[in-house]
Amino acid sequence: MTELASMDGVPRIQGSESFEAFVRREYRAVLGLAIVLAGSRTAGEEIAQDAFLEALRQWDRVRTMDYPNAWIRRVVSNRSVSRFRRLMAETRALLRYAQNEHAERWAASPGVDEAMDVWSEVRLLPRRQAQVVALTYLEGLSRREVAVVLGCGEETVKTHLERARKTLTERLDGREVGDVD
Amino acid sequence: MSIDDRLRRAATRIRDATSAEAVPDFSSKRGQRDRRDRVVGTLLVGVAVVVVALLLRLGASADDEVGPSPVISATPEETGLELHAVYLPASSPAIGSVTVRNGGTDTLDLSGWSLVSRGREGLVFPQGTLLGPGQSIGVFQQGAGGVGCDDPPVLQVGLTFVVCFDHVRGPRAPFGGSTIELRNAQGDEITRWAPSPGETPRSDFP
Repeated sequence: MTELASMDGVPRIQGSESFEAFVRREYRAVLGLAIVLAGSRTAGEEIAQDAFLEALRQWDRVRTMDYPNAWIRRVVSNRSVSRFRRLMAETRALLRYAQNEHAERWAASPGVDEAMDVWSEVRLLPRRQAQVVALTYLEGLSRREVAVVLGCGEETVKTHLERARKTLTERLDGREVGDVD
Repeated sequence: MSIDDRLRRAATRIRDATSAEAVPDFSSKRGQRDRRDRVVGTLLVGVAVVVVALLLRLGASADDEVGPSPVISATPEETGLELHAVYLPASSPAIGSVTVRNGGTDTLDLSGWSLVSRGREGLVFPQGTLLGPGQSIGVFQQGAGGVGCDDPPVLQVGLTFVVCFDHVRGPRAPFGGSTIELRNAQGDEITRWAPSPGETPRSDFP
């Protein structure tokens, strides 16, 4: 589970961290976030990699941020819920490869299809609610941490989360979709 | 199962699947990705240019189909054209402003038409000058609209169009004398304005 707990009181100054170390620490979690919000592994991978390349280009600036890990999640969250960005990512990914071994391995992972059914319901929520749900459940972030990532208030996060839970309960109630047991 | 449990389980599945993902080497990817993005960007720009060109072409075709019927040589009664003019103050003998109004029901193409005074063309309407029903072209003296004498005239149908004929700064007036004619592109007089007998010069510019 991602740790952004350093946001509470002790800022995580990453000035001396190398880009490679940042990627090793964050890539998989950010990739998962992009996948669930974009709706496919290909688009998610493209969006995540684009975001890390953006971080690499701006590394001198990004590494001196208090929370580069929050920055990369904000970039990915916003790009993943943008229909245009998603479409572009899908298009570029298809230009790169139709299907590769990673995608096949991903598809073969146990329970992924069922889990993606649940996330597809999440993606039907308003964008902000979907982002809050993904950051809360997938990343395991606290309300405060989600607020830092999305650049909004904790109360806003709470409101989005409550509304999202209510809507998802209504939509998934009685359905087997996503019941990955 | 509660919604919290469902979401947690779905999250666990995704985390398990992504934990097996290889971490890319972005240092080597950067150059490839930049080159690819340039290629894709160039392709997209090319496609956008083609689409815009096609849309413009379609728009031009549509204009051709529904465009106005040019009135080349018609009488004022046929065209509905009205010509009005206002004198400058008594200190100047020149005409101060001229208004061409389409009082008819058809759009008129005034391309190449001209306003003539004392045998000189004071203003030739450029190609594409269309005057819709009820629209006017006003030709006003410098000072009335804030455009300087050195500014090139820009004709705008239905809007104030200032032509430089600054009677204060010298004989630059395109219109002089006390009559003014509207001629079509072939030089035929369509209508003419002259002051009514006893009409006195006015200084109230529109």
